[in-house]
Amino acid sequence: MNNTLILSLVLCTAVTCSGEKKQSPPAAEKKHLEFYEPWNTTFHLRETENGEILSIGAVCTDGSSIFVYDLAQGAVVQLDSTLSVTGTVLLESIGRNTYAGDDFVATDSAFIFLNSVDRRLEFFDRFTGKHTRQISLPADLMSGAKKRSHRTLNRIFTDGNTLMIGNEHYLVAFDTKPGKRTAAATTVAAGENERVLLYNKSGSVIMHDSLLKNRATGLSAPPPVTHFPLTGKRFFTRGTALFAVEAGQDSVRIAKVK
Amino acid sequence: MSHRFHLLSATMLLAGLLFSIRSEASSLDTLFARGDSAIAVTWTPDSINTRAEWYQTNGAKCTGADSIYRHCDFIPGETYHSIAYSYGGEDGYIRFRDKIAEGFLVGSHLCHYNTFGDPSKAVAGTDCSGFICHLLEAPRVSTREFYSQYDVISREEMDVGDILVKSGSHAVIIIGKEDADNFLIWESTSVVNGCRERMIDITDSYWDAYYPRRYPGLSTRTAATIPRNQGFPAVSVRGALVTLLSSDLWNGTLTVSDLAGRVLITAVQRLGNSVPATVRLPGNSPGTFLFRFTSTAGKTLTRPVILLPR
Repeated sequence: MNNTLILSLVLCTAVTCSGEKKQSPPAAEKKHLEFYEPWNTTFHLRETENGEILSIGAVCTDGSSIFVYDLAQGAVVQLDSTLSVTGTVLLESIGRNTYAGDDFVATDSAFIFLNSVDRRLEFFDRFTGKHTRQISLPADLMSGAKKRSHRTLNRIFTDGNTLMIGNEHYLVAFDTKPGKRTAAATTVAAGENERVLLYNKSGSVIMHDSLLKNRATGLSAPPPVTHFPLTGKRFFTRGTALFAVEAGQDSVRIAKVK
Repeated sequence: MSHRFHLLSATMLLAGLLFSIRSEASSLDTLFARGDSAIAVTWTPDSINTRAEWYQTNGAKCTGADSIYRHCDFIPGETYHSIAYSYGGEDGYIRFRDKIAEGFLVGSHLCHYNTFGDPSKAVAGTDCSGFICHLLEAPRVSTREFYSQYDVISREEMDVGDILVKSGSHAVIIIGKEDADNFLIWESTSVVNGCRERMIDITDSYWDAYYPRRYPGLSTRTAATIPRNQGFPAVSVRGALVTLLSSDLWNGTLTVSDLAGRVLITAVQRLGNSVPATVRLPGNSPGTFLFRFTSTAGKTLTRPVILLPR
């Protein structure tokens, strides 16, 4: 039994015995800047009508705060630089239950979700969760990708004022003002047997030969395990440190990748 | 009642023109045409499709977490892609289109199903097993029967057309294989209220509860032929190789595009000038492609062809 499971069992037992809903992270973990909570404390698991499980959708950062998409609630949870929860914004429904998109980014005023089902960007007010506008993506947006699987939409990143949209194999620069690919039509294609987990112009985080590699820092590490797959990004950086979200069977952990 | 319903031109063409492919079409051939259509369909519900009083009345017994289903989640006047999810439903895109036009509801869920019976009598859409049965042209069964009646295969054997199923819960169908762990799938899912295409990584332990199965009636084909017809030149397709049959003289422009509208091949022939007898489509993914021929007189004809992975 690994340490994570032991710890989660301890925490679950503590919840049951005390009847308290919220657990503070152990002091040692706090010191190492970790978020650790059993499900249904801040984040929730929810079973859909046919038995699928809704959990966490994606994570992103605007440089100061960290935002986690709680797919079960249709909400974005905000954490500060110490990984403490500072607020939750419920997202207005777009008509697809709690789904707003596979992945998202945060700007000064909005959350921008990539809705791959309807092939459009969904804009939500960052502070109220109100659905403010949407932009349909061009049918040929991913036409430069060589394989059908590389034309799927499930990743969105920011690159200055430009959005990079696509997947772990192929990204296209997109300008939201005219609602089309940028004039330069910048594309990023992952190398052979590589996947771009976190795009960064000055050095992306990639998966290569079953190892995470941070090209900006030289970090090479095995990827943290998650039980519930996220639909979008599950990594973010703070300074030079790389963090990952782990949606385990019993708990949620956000911690630095070592 | 004013209904607005749109299909991408490509999917409209598919419905009417699939017959033009010779009888070589098999379950796997049509799987892609049906799936592409289900994903690409665009529709706009109106106040009849989402009528509030129905949800208020029939959702009255839906309590607790289910009380959110006392209204239709789809928004009237909003445009959506893909066939909607409906627990117990099994509509293909043509039937879904017709039902929307006839004023059927969208947005069914288990609470309604349990309380009032089969929602397909009132609601348009498909659930996960209905969607897969439709794609495979298989008898309608549930995820339990996928699990118990379909052929057991190993994860290493999984390929296009195979199913990952969690008995009594959910099932997805594989339409592409990136590597040993990553697969491109289609599914009808209550998570997004509809059908979608996405990548999955089966090394995530979430997928440990899903088991690979193969429909016993699935056959595979790797070739199709467009016969010369009404001025359309004869074309043979085998894998990614497109052969313009040399015995066939034609005048005009032949283009091959994917359903996203991307033109992959343009071939022009005037009498007396030859074109390469065989050209290769870029990429190696299966899918539906549109062959469009424009004669020098300006007449345009379109034929769909499904390319297969093996």
